[in-house]
Amino acid sequence: MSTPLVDVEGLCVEFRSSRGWMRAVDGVSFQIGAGEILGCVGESGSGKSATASALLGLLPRRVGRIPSGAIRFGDRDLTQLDETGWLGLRGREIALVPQDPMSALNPTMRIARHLRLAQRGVDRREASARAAQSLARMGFDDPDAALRAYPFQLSGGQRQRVLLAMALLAHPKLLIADEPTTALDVTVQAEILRLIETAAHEDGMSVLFITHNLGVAWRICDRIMVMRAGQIVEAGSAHQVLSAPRADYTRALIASVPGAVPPRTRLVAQGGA
Amino acid sequence: MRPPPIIMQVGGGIVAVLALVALLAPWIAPYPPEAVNAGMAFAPPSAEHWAGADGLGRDILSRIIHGARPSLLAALGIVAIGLGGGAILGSLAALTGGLFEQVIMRLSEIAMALPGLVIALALTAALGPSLVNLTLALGALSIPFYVRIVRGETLTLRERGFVKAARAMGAGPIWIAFRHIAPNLAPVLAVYATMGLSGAVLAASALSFVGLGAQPPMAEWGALIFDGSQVLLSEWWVAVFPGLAVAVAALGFNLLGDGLRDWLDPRSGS
Repeated sequence: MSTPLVDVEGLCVEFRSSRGWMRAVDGVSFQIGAGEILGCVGESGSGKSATASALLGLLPRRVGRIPSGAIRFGDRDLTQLDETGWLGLRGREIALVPQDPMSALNPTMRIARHLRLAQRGVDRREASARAAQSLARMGFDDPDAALRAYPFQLSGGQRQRVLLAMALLAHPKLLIADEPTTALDVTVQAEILRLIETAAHEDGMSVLFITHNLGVAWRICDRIMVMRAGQIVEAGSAHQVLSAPRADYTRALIASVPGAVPPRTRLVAQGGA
Repeated sequence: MRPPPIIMQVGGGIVAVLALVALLAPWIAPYPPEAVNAGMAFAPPSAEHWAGADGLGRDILSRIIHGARPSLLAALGIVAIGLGGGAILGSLAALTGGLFEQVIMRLSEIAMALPGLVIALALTAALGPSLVNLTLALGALSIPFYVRIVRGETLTLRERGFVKAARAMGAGPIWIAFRHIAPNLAPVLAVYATMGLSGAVLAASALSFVGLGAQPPMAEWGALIFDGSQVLLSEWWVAVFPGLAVAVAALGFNLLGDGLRDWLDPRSGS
């Protein structure tokens, strides 16, 4: 791998609480190469989503901050970017597939409008044509009907495919997928994963794939990092991390997947940080 | 979409009739509102004068029909000022946050702690009694109420998934305010504005009743009630029919607003 697209070094993220600034991400370093899918696995509160927010410049104003660390994206350091810089980057070079498809579409706008707005700097007619194509690629049988629909008329899986289409229409260099399949049933999940994988491998798009589902991570990721309490406890190729985990925490995570352990086995408890 | 609930249809019907009456007043009123007829002074309700006549022999029904115009217009003006000011200040407070939000919210809390009708009374008296001043005073005093609603709703909307998703997709703050927040704010505001109209009709009549609104000989519901209040025990019709008009208007707006809320609320009903 030559120079990676994303090079995060010693990233810390803090949030303000009643007890002062609390560290959510504590000195995390990782790289994502072009066309690579990096899985970020961990339980709730492990710092996965805070890392994603930092990569999107979407930490809440005033209550979130990056006290130290660098996020190199291409030749820029994103921690030094101002809001104008971010506006030029989000939705163009970095795109997000959000977590909850049920709430991520504006209920007052038709799907066509969503898809058109996702293509910034493309003229209207061109954008409409591409919107229809992108839905067809996402496996909609009748893209025109879907374009005319309001979000509430679509199922969760359909909405997630629309959201993925919106993200991919921007032709981003980096796609951040924040638990994109958590709210979906298994068959739809597989479909979404296949679409992300295709986009990554065919277009050389890098993906940061955030999940707490080890099965999903195993299925789609080239490499995996396991996060816990704001730190990376283990990182390596997906195969290595999941089949021969070195960290106790990874082993505990794997053991806690339903079906991975025989019934009535005591789950391994891990002390908090 | 679901059919509107019955109360909304009833309320909407009442409001539509009132609006038509106000629009068509000169054509549907049986007499000119200011036509004095000494021979008919305090005539009780009859086939000629359905709602009777007042002390100058003016036809009460005609005066109520013409009175719908200033009464409803004042109510609309009050809500428009309150809602407009509230929407701007409330959404700005929510979206900018910080000191600006603190100042706006503390000021509106202070304003809400004051007895609104009394202040409006004083304000109108100071500005000079007229329907326009009454509208301005009541409108300005209702702004804090809408500021709080709009700010609260905006804060909720801002945390909704589609706003976050839009930001992640590179939408700027102004774009988000107008394309994502405003359209979703509209149904809530429609409900509060409709309910607000009911209160505004009552408040405008109250101030006109004490002589701070419409000036004689203009026919306005509150002023009409005042005219009849001195003869309430003998010539009850002079006050009761304009009073009914106020009550029906307030009821209509309330029913419409209530129904609208049920209808627009995705959590209620089917």
